[in-house]
Amino acid sequence: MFDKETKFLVIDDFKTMRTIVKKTLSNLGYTNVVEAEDGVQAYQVMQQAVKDSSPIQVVVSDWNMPNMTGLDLLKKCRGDEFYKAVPFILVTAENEQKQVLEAAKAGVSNYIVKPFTPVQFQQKLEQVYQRHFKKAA
Amino acid sequence: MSAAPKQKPNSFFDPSVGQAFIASVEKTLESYTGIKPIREGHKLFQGIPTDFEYYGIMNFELAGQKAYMILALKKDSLKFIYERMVGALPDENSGESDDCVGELTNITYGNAKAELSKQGFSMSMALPTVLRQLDPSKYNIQASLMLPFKQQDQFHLALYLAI
Repeated sequence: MFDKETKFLVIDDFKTMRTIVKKTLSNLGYTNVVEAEDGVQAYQVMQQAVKDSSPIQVVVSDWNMPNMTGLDLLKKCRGDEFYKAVPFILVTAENEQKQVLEAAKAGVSNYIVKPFTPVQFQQKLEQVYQRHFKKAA
Repeated sequence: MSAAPKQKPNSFFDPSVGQAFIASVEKTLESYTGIKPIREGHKLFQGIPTDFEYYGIMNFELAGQKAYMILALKKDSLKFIYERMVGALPDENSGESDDCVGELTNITYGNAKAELSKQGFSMSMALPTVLRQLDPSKYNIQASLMLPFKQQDQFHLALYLAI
């Protein structure tokens, strides 16, 4: 599983959901968590983190947000020289098949449907770790 | 051999539409509070509710019909739900209560949309609006279906589907 020092970026235009995700991560032992309210702010945070030599290591993003959606942020990351392989989890209230396919095509690491339980979140995170790191081992 | 597709309902008030929204409210509340809400029947209204304290509103289109989904809660119910979701009481002055209503509305709509999509409907993605008071004159609503939910006096809320 991810190291406990792993740096997470949690993105959602609703603070309630950011709080829930942070709390879930904290209960799993992950406290190195930064937040953003939308994709635009998130990308700025990610760029600054690189400049600060403390890059984001896992992104957990809502899909439906103003200014820049989670999907658009994902596409931006996949086109970014530094973040093209960053583990990226989309969290959304909508799980229509065409949406899931669109996310997969864009290179999403995993997809969590709201509402979710802490156990479901942990399972998804474990799957992401296995996909990104165990494969390379 | 795949099953024949379900017949599309003829109107916005077809039972399958209401059922999708009801199931979504139940799933959302049970997941976040650990308590399954009990629906207390339904009621047809002319107009929209004005006796709640928080309103999460989605403005969308379904089967060619422009409609609203309104999640209406009393303050005590919201506090109860928020505490169960987040582990602390909301700070109303910093907008945490409104934020929570927005997210509950977002999830309720999204889950219903996903279910109805499986039944062949196309519904728009939408962002919720949260209000403390509703001014009926601002909404051209002819009728609404009220779906109240309750659980042992711990929370009362209502879902309105309006056209």
